[in-house]
Amino acid sequence: MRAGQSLSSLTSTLLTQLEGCFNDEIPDLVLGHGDTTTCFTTALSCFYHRIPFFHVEAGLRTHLLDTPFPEEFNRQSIAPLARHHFAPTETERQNLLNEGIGISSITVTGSTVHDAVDLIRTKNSPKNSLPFELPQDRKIVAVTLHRREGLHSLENTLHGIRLAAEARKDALFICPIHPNPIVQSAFRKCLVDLENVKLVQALDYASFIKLLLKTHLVLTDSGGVQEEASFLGKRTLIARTKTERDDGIKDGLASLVGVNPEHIFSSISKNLDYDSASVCFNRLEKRSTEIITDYIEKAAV
Amino acid sequence: MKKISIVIGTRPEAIKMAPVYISLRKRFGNSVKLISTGQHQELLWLCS
Repeated sequence: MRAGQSLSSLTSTLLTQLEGCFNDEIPDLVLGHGDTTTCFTTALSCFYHRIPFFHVEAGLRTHLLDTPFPEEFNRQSIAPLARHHFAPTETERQNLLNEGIGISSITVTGSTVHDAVDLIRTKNSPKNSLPFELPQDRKIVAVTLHRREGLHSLENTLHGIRLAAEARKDALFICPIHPNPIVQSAFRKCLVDLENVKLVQALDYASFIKLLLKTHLVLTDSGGVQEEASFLGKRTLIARTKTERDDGIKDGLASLVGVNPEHIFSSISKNLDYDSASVCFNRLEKRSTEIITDYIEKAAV
Repeated sequence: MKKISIVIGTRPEAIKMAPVYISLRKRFGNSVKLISTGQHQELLWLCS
């Protein structure tokens, strides 16, 4: 997406590009993931080209069409276009059933992010290291904030982090910052002068997982990070008022803290005083990627 | 062999579809293709 590109122009560009791809060669089936404009336009283009579309991470819902924007619209619009739905958990399967999706078109798979995290954890490549040192004598708090609809509340959240950093010198706040210039400037303005806040460039995935493994606490507005952190058994504060994911919440590891500075400050401080959460992995018997691959092998298309 | 395309455009999609791509390639070989739309060009390289 080019800087300043509107959703309309992104949508039309992607549809045109996908048409070019599918005109070159018609696949037997296409897989897309989640709730992005890419996934929505792929499902729509497949529908126009009569290609079966299989949706991975299907069925997440807030049931508020513009929250998150435009992702909730994308999800709801992908569902009727998809031939098959790979739902992470029973909750998402039920959401789809409630919308009239046929029971035989849904498979519960678990989240593929667990397989992604495992790939990183078991891979011993030099890329698998952090570009900075982490002190042993401080509690590490990883901070990631970037959501589009959250930009107006970003300053509030950052203010809460500032209060926490000023009060808790026993903690070191590591903030990998999204490349979005608005996000970059908001972080600098609010936090750059604090000795126990480290503003760093966005990390590659392997490094980010390594950072998560060493953290005491995670503060994020990203559903993906919520999933990864709770899979790794980390305490997670979600700087949003609503989340469509259960990950961590039902285990008491993750909690919604909203965007009020005082509340964020007190939540960070309280959680710093808890022991590190014990690492407990929620595993299905079979890997999600294996379930998806087996299903695709059998699927008649 | 089934011709399968995986379409991704952002970093989270790349991360979460990487193990699916690897698993499908093991089973179906070269008939599995990856298409990147470049929706978030600045983030896709981080996954390489």
